[in-house]
Amino acid sequence: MSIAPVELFEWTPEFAVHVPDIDQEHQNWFRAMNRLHEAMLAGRGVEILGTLLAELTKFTMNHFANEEKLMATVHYPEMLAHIQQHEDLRRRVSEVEARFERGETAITIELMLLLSDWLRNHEIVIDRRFGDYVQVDRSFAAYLESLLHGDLRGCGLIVQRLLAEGISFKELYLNLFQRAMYRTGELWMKNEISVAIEHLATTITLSMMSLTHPTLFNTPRSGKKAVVTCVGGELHQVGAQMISDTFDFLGWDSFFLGANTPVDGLLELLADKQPDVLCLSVSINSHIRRFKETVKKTHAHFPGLDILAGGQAFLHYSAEANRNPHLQFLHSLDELEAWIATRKTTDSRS
Amino acid sequence: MQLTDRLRIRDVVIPLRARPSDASAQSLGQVIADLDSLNHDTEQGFLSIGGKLSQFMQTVSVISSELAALANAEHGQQASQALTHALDRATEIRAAHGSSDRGLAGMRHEVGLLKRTLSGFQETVSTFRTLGLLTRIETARLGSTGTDFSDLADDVSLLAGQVHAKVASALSIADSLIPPIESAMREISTLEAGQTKDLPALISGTLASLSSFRDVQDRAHESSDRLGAQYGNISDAFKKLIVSIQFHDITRQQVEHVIEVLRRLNSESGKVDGNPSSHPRGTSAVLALQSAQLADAEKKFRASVESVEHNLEGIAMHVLEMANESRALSGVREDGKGSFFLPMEQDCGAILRSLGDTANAESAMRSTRKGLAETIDRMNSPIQEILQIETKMRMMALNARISAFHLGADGSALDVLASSVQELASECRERSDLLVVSLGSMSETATRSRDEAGQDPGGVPGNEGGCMDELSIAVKDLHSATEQSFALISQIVARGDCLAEDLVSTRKEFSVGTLFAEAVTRARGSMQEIGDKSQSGLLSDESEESESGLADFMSLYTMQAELDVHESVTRVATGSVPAEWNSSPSGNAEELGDNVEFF
Repeated sequence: MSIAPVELFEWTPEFAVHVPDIDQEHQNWFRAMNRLHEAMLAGRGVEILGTLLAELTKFTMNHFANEEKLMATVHYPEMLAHIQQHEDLRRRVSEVEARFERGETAITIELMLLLSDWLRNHEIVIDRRFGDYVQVDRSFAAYLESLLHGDLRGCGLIVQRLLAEGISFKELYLNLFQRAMYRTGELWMKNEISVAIEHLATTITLSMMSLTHPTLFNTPRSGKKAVVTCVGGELHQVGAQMISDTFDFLGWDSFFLGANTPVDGLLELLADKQPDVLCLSVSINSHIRRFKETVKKTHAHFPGLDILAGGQAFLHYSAEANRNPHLQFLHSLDELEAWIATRKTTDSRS
Repeated sequence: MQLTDRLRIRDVVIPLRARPSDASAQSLGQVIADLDSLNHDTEQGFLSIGGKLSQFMQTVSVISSELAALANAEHGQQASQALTHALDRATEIRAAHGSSDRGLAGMRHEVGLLKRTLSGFQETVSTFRTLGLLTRIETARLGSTGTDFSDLADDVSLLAGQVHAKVASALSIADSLIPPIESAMREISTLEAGQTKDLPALISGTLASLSSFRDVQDRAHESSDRLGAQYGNISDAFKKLIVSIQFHDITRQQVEHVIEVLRRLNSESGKVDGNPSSHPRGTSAVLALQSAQLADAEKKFRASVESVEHNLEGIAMHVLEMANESRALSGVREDGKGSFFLPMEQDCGAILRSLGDTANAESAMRSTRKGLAETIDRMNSPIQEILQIETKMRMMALNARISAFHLGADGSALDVLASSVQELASECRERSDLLVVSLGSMSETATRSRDEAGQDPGGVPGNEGGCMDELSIAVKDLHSATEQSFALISQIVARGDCLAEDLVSTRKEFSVGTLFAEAVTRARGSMQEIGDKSQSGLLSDESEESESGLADFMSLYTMQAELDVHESVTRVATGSVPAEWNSSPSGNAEELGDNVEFF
């Protein structure tokens, strides 16, 4: 029976970063790896090493240059870390090539593992994130315009399209919703839009966030619970909603209480739900007094309960954290993700 | 009741009268259309799985073959032999290098002696020059009487100059001998480190890896055996799947029956009173009967679908187990960064590097040793010339002494000078003899060394580097086999993962169960409604008898009867025929009725 070789690395649309040139180059990369696999399967990997390494060198020169140029054009926030990874692969490919030129040929398995690792950790994860950013960035101007015009449908169509393209939840939250809300806030502060428009943008954003919820609820549950709320008097709830959704997306059951939650009501809910963490959101500095009162009362009733605090009011504030081991200040969704991951690790150790 | 009576549905539809109903006629038509569409859709669902079955089975078979190929691969057998051979030879190589190293050390000592001897010549040359000068003075003192001796002074000076030049040349050659000797000794040291220390360690490491690989192969064998059983389970599951799919055919036929009856019912409508919307009498009972048929079909269909889903899940589970077992064989870590095969490859690479270094050192040493022998040969020439000069000097001194003797007392001083020249020439001879002996010894060492360098390190003439070449080829083959196994396991894992994913996705896409249940519920609801409406228009006396008969028939008429036929026919095919079938006059397929299909 003849045994047909299988395409070990199959490029499927789920790997698309939706930038045609980059996608094309990624597909070439997949093809090169399949060629190496086929040659190795015949025990003749060494025969194509020269060609393959030449292609890889060309790839790392051209493809990386293209990506880096695009990153600079769209002001990609993770550009430096991304370029660092490119440098790392360039160096490793050069090392392998130098060894090959010195006459070392027993390097096919090492090369295959190096390339698979790159594919698994860079192209599928890191490039995909960049692709998502590019997609969102390209839609940002239209989204912001729709948002400022109160065009719920226009915003909805953009978000639905991005969701259909498989853009990650985090990318949408950070680089579409949050970015658009920050921009709206700036325009309001410059008196270029009215407070009514700012409120309209907020309600539309909350609606847009709800469009992602079917994705959030599909993730496997971890059995952990979080209560997320704004402190009493605080009316800006978009940030808190993002925190709550992030918990849901990462498998926690999140109870989002919304804006302006009085302490007594919060304590009752905590007694009922027995969460693993309480998240408090404060956007306006004048509500920090309420925040302190909430923390104090919560710890009086639930001494071991971890409290995470976040929001614009805490951008430069962390005085309380030094004194209270159960209180942490988080400044971004990345920090929240890291905190949840740490909690997962702690649990697996215990 | 005969079997044929139970199966001939057309005889059961008794034309009865009913009140007209437009809505019910439309509903009936809709039910027929729905059921038709249902049959088509479910057929597609089952066909889709059926179509994938052969592909699934082929993939499982390929995985099985690949695993067996891995288990039975003659991986590294040849390499193992060559490595063991090379390990044995390493001891011989060490001994050969030790002897060679000692020879070179001796040669370095000889060069030292040679240089000291040659330096001794320089003093002699100086004495010769002094003697030449004294001869010239003495000759001048004798005046015309000493004319014959003026040539002696010139000759002594000339020969002293020649000796000086030759000694300088020999010393220069002797100096040039030291660097290649030291270089050769360093090369031996490199070879010693490479061939007799590093290489055996690398070879031992590779042999250990090969042994570990054999363990992997043993596990692959066990996996292959387990896979055999697993493959049996999967094949059984596939067979059950096929039976489940065939079983669906029965429900399809049941639905077809119902459609047929409903069509007839629809076509009978209006024939009695000319109103196309009026149904024949007994419609309610017929619909109840067909509704029961549908309920029965739905029950069987559900069982069939559950069985298909269960079997697909079972196969997917077995396939995943196979893939995981294969993944464990490759020792690939979850992050994909390491594999059992990587150290194997690194061992091969290290051996090939070491062999490359050794080959370079061997080549350099061969060239050094060859140069050494040539240099020593070159040194022979000035020393032979010194010997000739020394002979000339002795002859010249002898002639001078004879001439001095003829001069009598006047010649006594010159006689002393001539005898000194003679003595010095004798000393030169002794030194030259020593040089010749030293050179002979060095030449012998160099020649031996050159010959050894041109041979296989084990000492087999005419098989230059044979052992190392054999080892190099074997290690390259080993690497080739290693990458092949690595790629094969990766392929097995990928195939297993793909198949499992495909099975899970097929299982997810297989939604005909819900579709069927919903459609049947809907159809039965509509039929109930039409039946109720029809029932309300019937005369009670006329209907009672018919309804009672139909109720009896309904209890008998299910497609179970067809299933019985199917099973009985299967038994006939396998030689097990029930007695009632043998006695039945309707034992052939045509007499079983139009609604029976053999499959």
